[in-house]
Amino acid sequence: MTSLVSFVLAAVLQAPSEAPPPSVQEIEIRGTRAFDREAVLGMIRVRTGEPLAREPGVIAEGLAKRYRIAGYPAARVSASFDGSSGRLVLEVDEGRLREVVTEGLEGAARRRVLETMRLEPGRVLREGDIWSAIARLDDESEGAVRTAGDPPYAVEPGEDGARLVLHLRRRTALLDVGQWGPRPSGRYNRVDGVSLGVAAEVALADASSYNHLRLRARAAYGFSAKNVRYLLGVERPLGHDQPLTLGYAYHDLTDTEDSFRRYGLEEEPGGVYNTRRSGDFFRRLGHEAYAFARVGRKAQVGVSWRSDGYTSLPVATGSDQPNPPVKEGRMRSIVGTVRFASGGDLYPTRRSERESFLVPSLYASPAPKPERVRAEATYEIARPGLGSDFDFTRFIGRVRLHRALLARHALDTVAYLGLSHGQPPFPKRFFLGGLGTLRGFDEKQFGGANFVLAVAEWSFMPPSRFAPVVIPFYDGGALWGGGPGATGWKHDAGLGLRFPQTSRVFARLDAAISLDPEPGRARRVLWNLRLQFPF
Amino acid sequence: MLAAALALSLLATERAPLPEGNAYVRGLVPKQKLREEALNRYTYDVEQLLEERDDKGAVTSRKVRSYEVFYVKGRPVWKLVAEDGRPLTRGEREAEEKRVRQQVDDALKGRAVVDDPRLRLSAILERYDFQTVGREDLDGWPALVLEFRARPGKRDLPGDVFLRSLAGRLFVDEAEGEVVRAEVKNTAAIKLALGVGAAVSGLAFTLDFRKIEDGLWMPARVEAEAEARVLLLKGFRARSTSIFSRYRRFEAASEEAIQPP
Repeated sequence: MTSLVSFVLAAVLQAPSEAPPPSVQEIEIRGTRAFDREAVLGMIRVRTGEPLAREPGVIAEGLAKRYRIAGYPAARVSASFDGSSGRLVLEVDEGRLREVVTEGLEGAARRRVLETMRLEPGRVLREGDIWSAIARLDDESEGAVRTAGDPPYAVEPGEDGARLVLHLRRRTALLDVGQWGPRPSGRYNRVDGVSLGVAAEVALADASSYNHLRLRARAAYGFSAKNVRYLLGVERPLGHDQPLTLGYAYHDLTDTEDSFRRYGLEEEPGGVYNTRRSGDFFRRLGHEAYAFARVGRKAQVGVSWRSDGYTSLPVATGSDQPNPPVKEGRMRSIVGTVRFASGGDLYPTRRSERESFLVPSLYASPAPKPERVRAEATYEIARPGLGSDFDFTRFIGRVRLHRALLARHALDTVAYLGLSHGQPPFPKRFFLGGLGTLRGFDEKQFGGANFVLAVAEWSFMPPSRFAPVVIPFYDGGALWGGGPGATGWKHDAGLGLRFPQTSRVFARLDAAISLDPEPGRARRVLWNLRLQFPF
Repeated sequence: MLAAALALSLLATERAPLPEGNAYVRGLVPKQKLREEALNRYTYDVEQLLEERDDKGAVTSRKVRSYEVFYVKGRPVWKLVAEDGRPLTRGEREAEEKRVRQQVDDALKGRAVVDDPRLRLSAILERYDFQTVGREDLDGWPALVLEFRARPGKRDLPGDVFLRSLAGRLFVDEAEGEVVRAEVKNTAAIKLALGVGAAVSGLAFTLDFRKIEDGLWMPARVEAEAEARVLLLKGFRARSTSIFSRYRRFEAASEEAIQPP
């Protein structure tokens, strides 16, 4: 035992001391683009004139790891040190992409994935580029190609470049079920009462073109009227990047031409409740077939054929507000549509674009606040020659402007021009007064065959986020033709308060007063409280 | 035997003893404050992946956002410049610039802006009890490993409802005296509005730092994961990964001259 202890002591105490590490005289760094020399030196923590405290291989591995943390998953680093000259050479390969492998997909589906992801071989592979490519695939395939695993890819660095292996899976059918809304007639109205519904859609996915065949079924039950309203439809886009869409729907709807009134110039997605009445309703039972073409990303043209039976609907709730009867009969019409946006895409998503194809009211399609100018026009023709009981033509043009001014101000305007000819039935006639038109006048106080309307709102957002947005507004418009004679220019002004300032869930209180009340009518303030829900 | 013990103790003393955790971390706080002050002089880019997940962990939505970040009076201002690799449209850009101008304006005028917890490590350091548990090799350099746990009781700190439920590990480069990695997770459910508003059942994040010029260590990558229930009903699982890059100096001659880069 004593000898063992002596041996250990001797080994410890008499171990030869290591030679001091050689000092670094020169550092050469090759192949870096992502980081400059100073950044690399900061990461490897080696300076000229100082001893090389770590093995070159350790330095290289440390730098490679830093590259991976910084989002270069295929980076490789090698290092060599010449002790005699004190020269340290770092050779960095930031990892260029050699090929993309799509596990789980072949043929046309694979080609489409590669085209959608736009990951170019030869370029340095960055983690952020992989993320963006996968997000684009999610977006464009609309669920037909899904990723699998976490992360859904593997990077295999190699001498001649990196392989990116994507773990994908193809889906043949996509089911989407949700609540049906917001609908043109709302979740509550005086002819249905509370109306709740479901919407189901099955998309038969095409993983090579992303032109899925969509089968739609929507149904809602009106609790006061004890009726079921529904829509059954089929739709398919055609062509690369879906420039053309064809569709058909059979429906039995509680419908209105007044849905544009409820939203005004706050076109937030979701449900709306207004304390002021904002529409009249009728039943529309029949068919609609449509074809829409996207022109670039900013424009759309379409044509629809409609064949509907129109019937009146009685008030089913305890409301004391009547619902005007409509002239009943079959309306067959052709509707031409043109839409354009000057800033950004006409519709932000494919889903919102699809919603625009089947819009019951022809005044405006559901779309968020435009980035700049948004223009829409519809031209509707109903003729006995088409099998219609009605004979009229109707044009509606709408120009919507949103302009951010200074830091806390914004200008929102909308202008409508409506022209009609023949004998449009009651729902197809033009009315001014009430929400969305002349807010200082009563609901549909003025009617006529033609109209012009201009609404302007100026929003001021106070610096305190606890203060509401202050919105002075002006509405002006005129009607002419169709019997009662021209109204002349009628206008009002008012003030709105919106809180919270930027949330999509908000309350807005408007007070409007007529600037030229009708003779015999007292000037009075008309109030509306609007509550905006996210669904 | 005595001689053998002596020899072994001689071997052990070749490495320095582990420092006491709290005293060691208190020594780091001034450096952390210097780092936070230095952030005011820099602008940088952040690429962020946001993933929402379902109950089985499958990704239900994925968004990639690119930001330019700069500081005004110690407040970070994140300016969105691209989404999913696509630059913003003109309208989106204008809206974002308007939002950024407001935020700059708020910061210059001293109006309340919520602190960015991602980079405010010093606030975390002062809140916890630290214990040094060992050394690990990190990129070839020895790093002290410290475990931390929240001290009991409430503190007058913004977001203390979160901070008091967190624990984790810090990796401190011994040669530089800098935190190079932090791993943080929650030890108990975090309840907002008595759990009715939201209950965060899982929260974890990892921060990696890298050395840039001037000897500063700045965030390089942040990975965060959260699982919560909102309004007792809506489940929420999300993960974000942020990569910080292109640190560059950003000096302003006067407060009024500050403009988004």
